[in-house]
Amino acid sequence: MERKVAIVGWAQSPIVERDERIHKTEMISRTVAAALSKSGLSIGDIDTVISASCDTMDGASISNVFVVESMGAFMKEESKVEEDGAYAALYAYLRLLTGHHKTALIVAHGRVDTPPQFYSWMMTDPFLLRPLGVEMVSAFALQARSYLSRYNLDERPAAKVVVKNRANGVKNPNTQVRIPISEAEVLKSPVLASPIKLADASPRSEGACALILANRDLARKITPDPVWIEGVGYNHDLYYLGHRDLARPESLARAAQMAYAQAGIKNPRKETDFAEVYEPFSFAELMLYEGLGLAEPGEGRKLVEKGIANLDGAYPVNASGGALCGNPIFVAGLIRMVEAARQLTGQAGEYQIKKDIRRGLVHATSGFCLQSNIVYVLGRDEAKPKPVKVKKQFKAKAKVKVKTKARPTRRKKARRK
Amino acid sequence: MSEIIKSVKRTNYVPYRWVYGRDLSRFFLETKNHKKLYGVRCTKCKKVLVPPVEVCGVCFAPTDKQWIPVSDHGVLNTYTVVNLSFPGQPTNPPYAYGLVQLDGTDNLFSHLLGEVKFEKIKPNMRVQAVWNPEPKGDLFDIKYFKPEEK
Repeated sequence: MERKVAIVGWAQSPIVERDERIHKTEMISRTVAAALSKSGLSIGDIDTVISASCDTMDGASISNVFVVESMGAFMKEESKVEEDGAYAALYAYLRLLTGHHKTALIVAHGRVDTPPQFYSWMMTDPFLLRPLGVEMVSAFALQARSYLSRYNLDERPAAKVVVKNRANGVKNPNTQVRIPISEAEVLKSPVLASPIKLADASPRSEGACALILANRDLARKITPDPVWIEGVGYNHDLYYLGHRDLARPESLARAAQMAYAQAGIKNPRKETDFAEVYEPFSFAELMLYEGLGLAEPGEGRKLVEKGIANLDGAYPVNASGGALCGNPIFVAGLIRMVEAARQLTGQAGEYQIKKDIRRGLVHATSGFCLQSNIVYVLGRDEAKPKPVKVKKQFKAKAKVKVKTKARPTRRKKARRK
Repeated sequence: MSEIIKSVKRTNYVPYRWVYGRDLSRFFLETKNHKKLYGVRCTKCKKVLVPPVEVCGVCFAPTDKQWIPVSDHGVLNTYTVVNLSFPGQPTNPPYAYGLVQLDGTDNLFSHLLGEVKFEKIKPNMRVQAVWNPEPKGDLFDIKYFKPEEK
């Protein structure tokens, strides 16, 4: 098992549908400041900054150039991925492994400045898919239909995914949709693109998220509860929908196997304790169970039908409510990493998984119909962390005081054990 | 402050001129002039791909120089009925589109579905292309696919 890089700090802005009272740079700088104060670091301690954002949504080419100041990247090595923030974390992780950098700050930010359908329609090629009006919802609808007909399923298991995630989201103060929903309400909700209904789709959301990584030596000095990256896997399928098996995304299975091999995992269902997955649509979560090896092909539904994936189940998935409760584009995957880190350090508050957890899976996806997938295995040290009371975001100053006082006592206690 | 400026609305006008290239030019010339569809065989996996490409994406092997005529009939693999409305749609919703496996090919071809009641659309149904009487050399040289006539 590799333990060379750890998550040592994070912060996210609360996910909202639209907030016109705040400039994007303000959203980013407050989130970065909160992440720094959480880890007890100053901006001078950060060696490299990697961001994730979407040029089409921002309406600007290479849109990271505008936010260099607000990310704290002045006079630092700065780069961007035009994919989910979980890929920015991969980029940063690989940089730390080179030894050139000791700490990295990852920033993902997404605003709904243009309709999301327009952004995803612009992701298609101009000759074969764009003339048909292919965008995210209807493309995933093709995939959902393909999955349902392959395994002869109806729409109820996917509705159960929505019920589970929305019930969890109620407990998450940082997420957007915090209203529970019943299976009947999901099945009755208006159809966007069959079989995807309004309740099956993630909402349009805005938000920013920051994550701080440090190498092994520094991580132990920064925090008593580092969250280690024990494995990572990534894989990419072809672009054109007609060249892929939509019902069974191979890139997902390969990404998972790569992460498991690095972490020394043979049976992910037994050797990990929970998962945070990026499910843009309810049907995708069923496919993710199968691709991640948590269920046999066509049997992903069993995890929701038997309550295994519930917050109090044997293997909770998306205890945070997942992307169905808040899906800022290019941010939602990085938030999955943060949510897993919260769970592993006992900081998830009301949606903290009750059973003893030591290792979790994180998944994020990019592109149409689960084209590109990344899977992390995150783990904590053997000693169980003391539950930390979760404080409100953006009260950075108060938090610094509490943190600096609290840390030495917690360390002593850990030693006594 | 009595009034706060919250946001501004602007539209970017960004013109493009995209190039078809050798293969798509020839593919759409054939649809325009002869109402014929062509595929191409990968030299390694031997799968027939439509529209033709220079390199098979799976094998990264060159495809045959010789193109293969393929049928404009096929089997519907998957579909969706779109009710959502957004800029850039080919027609006002609701409309249906899907992926069709044309006879004699090994991948799927994306197109609209027409002349069919939405509730009658089923995966694995036989479909056929309806050709546009006024072809322009693009995807809409085929208007849409409809259920196969018996």
